[in-house]
Amino acid sequence: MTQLNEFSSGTELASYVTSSGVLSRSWNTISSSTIPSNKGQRLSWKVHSEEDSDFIIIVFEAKSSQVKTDLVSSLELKKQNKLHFEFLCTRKSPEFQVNKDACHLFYENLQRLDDLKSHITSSTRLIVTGQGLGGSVAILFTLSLLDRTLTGKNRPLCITFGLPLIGDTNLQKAMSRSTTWNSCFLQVVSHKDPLLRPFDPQATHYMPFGTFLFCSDESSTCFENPESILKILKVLASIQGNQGFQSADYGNIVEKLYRKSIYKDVLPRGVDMNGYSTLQASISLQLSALGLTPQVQQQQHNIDIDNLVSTMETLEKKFNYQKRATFDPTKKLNSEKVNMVQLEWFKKDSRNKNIGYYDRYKNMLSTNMFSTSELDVINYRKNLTNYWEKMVEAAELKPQKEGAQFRTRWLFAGTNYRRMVEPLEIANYYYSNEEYKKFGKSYLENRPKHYKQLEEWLKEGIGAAAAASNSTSISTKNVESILNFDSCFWAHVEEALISCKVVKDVKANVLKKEEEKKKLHDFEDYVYGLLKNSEVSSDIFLRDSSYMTWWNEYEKIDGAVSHSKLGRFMSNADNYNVKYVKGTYNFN
Amino acid sequence: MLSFRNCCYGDSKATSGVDKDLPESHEDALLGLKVELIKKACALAFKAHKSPKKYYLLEKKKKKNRKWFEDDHIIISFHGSWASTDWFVGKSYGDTMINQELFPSLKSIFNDEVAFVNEAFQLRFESILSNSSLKHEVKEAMTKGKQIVFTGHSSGAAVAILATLWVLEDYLINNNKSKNHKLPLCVTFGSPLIGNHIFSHATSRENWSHHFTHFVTTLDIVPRILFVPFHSIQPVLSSILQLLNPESKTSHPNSERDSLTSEFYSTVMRNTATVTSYAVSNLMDGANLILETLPGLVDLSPYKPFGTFIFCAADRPPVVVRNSDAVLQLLFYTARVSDLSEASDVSKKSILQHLRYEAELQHSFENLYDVVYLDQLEEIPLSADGSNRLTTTTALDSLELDTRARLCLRAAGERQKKKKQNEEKINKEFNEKAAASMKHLKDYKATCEIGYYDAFKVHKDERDFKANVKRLELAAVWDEIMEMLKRYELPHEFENKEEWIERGTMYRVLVEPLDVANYYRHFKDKDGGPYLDRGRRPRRYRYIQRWLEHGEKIRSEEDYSESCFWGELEELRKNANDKYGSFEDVKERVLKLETHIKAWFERGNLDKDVLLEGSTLVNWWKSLPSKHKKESSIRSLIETSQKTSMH
Repeated sequence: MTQLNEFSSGTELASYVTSSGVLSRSWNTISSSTIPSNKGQRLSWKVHSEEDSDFIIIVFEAKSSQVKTDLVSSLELKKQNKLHFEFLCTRKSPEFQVNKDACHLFYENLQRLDDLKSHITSSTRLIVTGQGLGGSVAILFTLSLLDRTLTGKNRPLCITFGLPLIGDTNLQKAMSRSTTWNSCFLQVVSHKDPLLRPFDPQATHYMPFGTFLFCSDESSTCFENPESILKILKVLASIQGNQGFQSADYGNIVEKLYRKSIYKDVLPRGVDMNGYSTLQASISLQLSALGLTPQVQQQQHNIDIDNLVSTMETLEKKFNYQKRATFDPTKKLNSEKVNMVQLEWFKKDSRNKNIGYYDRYKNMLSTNMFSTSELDVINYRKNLTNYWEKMVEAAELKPQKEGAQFRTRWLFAGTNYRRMVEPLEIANYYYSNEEYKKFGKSYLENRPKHYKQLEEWLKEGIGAAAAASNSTSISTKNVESILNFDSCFWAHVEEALISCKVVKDVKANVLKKEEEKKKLHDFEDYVYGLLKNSEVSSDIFLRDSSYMTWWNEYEKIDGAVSHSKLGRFMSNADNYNVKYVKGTYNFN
Repeated sequence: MLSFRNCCYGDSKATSGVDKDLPESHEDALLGLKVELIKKACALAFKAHKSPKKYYLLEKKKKKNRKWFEDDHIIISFHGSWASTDWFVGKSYGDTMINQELFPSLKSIFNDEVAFVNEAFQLRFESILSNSSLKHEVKEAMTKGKQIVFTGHSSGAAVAILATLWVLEDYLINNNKSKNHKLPLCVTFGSPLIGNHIFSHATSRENWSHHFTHFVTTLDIVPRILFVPFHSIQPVLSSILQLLNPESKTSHPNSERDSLTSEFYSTVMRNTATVTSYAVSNLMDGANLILETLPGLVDLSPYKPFGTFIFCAADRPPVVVRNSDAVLQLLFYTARVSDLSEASDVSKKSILQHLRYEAELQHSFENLYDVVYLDQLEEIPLSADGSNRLTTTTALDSLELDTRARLCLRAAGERQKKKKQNEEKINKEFNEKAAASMKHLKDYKATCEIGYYDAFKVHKDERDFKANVKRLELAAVWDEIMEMLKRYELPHEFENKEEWIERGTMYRVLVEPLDVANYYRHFKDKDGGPYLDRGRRPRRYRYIQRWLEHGEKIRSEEDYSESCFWGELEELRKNANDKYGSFEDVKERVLKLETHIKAWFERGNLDKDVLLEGSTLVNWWKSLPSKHKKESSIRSLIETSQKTSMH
């Protein structure tokens, strides 16, 4: 199949934005003489609702025109119990930094801003806007709105003029985790904006997010790849003459762009693009919209346009690739299910052969003898583990609320996977893992992270409902066909077998023996608890299973088992072969 | 003599998709339409304006010197109307749901969404249909085997389009498929857009696009008018529409009028820019951030072009464009201006060109020799450099398309190409994977000893597991197709391909029982409720059933079909096994199910294996009260089957 051509749609996006009139509407409200609905010492804002529509524009205006670049850490804010932006953190990335001045202004006016927020419903069509430091506050205010569950359709749009970068790389990363959030920000930046220099991300820790609309007097173009934005910011800062540009000039720019949206592009003639790919041609157009043309190159010697085009091309390709490569669990869902069905069969087939699937797999590994169909089982296990590792990672990176919803949706499948596959992981650990052979640490100490997390999902509040419905259905479920509830059951068995060895070892230290005996008692109680709740498959009682091997060993060591509860249960094969299965054994 | 030459490079499919109902391609023809016919239609479209009291004009007299009448056409033309209420009704863009009685096919099958159409145009058509003798006239012409050509200029064109669609729906679908009728054609001049993307999609799907040929002069304002929300032009619309009326006796141009048209032109074009740049951004990669938020704040016009467009101007050869995405882009790019002074000039032309179709076409047809088909858009050159001597290049140059415009056309071409590739991909996947899995399941079904559904539900042997694997493999193939349909990533015609409807139905009938069995095997009903509840039955089956119903023009079966009645059966069985369940509570449902089962057997939709001794169906039926069983409609079915199996 032939490779399809890539495009960069920035020119068209800019046309969409400028012709739609949202910029003019925002700017007109900024420059209008409407009396601020709130006049603070350092910050004021006005709320403008358009006639005959549910459209609201909120303008933030900062008294100071000076914009400082100092940052404050979210951990610092947390210490002061300022938790409005805490939702942006994830388990993996607990900290970010934001502009200090903007943050101060936000918290100075917190109460009245909260009041303002309470008037905004999810059906409000809302633009939040501002220029300079006012724009920074607009961004923070909009960020604080994102902490609600946003219904897909009516999201606020924050439009800022001038260049207020607001946060660091961590904030940008947090934002890029949710396109819903990231889509709410549009920053309009002139190629002559004097703020380009002080905010140079090279010299500071700032990192852009959202969409940037860069504009010259003639034309404009959009970028949303933070790396590309960074590159453009840098280039513009390096050639800028800073010819007395004032923030009020944004009014003229917006007006011009609106009018010119029906004009043909004023492009340098004679640039032959026929040798270009569609992506290269798109990028050249975008650059020329900002005056970055070969002609300019002749005047500004520090710029190499061809070089810039190819740098941008690489950045855009990489960005597009990452966008496409985002892990989408639903896409591979059916093949994940196929692997599960194969293992389901492996389990059932093993039982038909009178052996538990754990022990069959374990024997395969320890004897190193596999039939071809058994070899496949190793692949099924690997495929599933790959899938779920990615899945859990994706979930852990999600913003908290989205993440919680996500975990609930996948809880059932995740639990099923864990209970089916982790036993194989355990067998693998004890019988073919070099590290175990060397260090002999328990599986439980080295348990892969994603299993732990999957188990946590179940334990979390979100799992409560599912767990409840699970436990009610146990009684009706057949212990012959269930999976062990505790997916680490076999690791406990393996550890118990080791303990038996130690206890029986004549050379072993007495204290050590006592310790192991204690562990064995604990294990006995643990098993009895599982049996009592019908949480363990009757497969474990199959002849020659690891569990039965353990029991036979254990019985020999400790004469007292005949008096223990488990001892009584195990003393008669009828108890576990018949009564347990039928649910008629009296555990009390 | 005029002759037709196809100038697109590469393998042209100029006549592909043209079915037997269309006139054969002649030397003096454009898209299979004879030039004489086009000219005549244009003359009639304008003539109709002169008799605004008549609903339509009909031309059927045979004239000896008119060669094309040998084909036995009749031309029906509709006059335009320039009252603003005949253009905009209601708020914003004046669109409304299409009349499903008249246009049952104009919907999306996958999303089950009805097409939207301009309400004012639809109202006018409905009124003509119920008040005039149009129905009668059409019926007579069709019965005589004549080909009807509907035509109109301006808002008359909108009526002609709806009339054509109505005939296509009525005569093709409802009753006259078998008769040897000729399907109607529609030729419009300066038509406004009339429907949304579903309208465009559905006409393509039904393979009707080539019945519609829209002539548009490059600057004509009318095809762009509906990109503007009504409220923003309301105060001036009446005056503008008067200027667009060929019959109105307006005074000579004056400065006031000039500034009115200039302002109007800018407004229309700016809205056109918003619509087209939004559309093309989606074509280019479609995952841009701003595309997620701005649509919530800026209401976009829903109207989209459909059918074949011919862009013409007096001084250049006609350019034929069939890709609707590209047409949309051209509506913007062919009418941009360089500066303010040009804007005033162009805005005057944008009105004048709407009035002068006869003259413009006359000139344009002199260039018919050089007709350009803009077909392989993904390969057009990006710059005007003159080195390429192909006519496509000349055409692109003469339309003054710069690199930006060409990138947009490429994106439109690329999207079409991608759709074709997707179709090839799923065809390949179907042949390589799905066909074998289907065969596997057929064999499985044939060899199940206790009935297909029950064997799978018991799930005892390895073969049952293997069947489950095949079920999932097939689900993967079909789920992928569903995703593509949802996002309109397959060619529009895909859903109209009998081959695929058949594949889908075979899949649904064979595999859905296994999905139901699997659902109840895992007790998923305990947490999730009955299989047939909303949202439980997989989308692929719901959709495939709707697909078949659309293809065969049958009404949808009420709750369940032969592939998923098991869901209902399981629920009824639970009731029968429940000590608190009473037969009386579900009697209606039982009777309904029995009636369906009987009908399915009679039609051969169900196989005998469901009646095997010990099957879920038989066991359930036997558990019903004997009084009911005595009169049950499937009693003999079950008893006969029991007897045969005993022997």
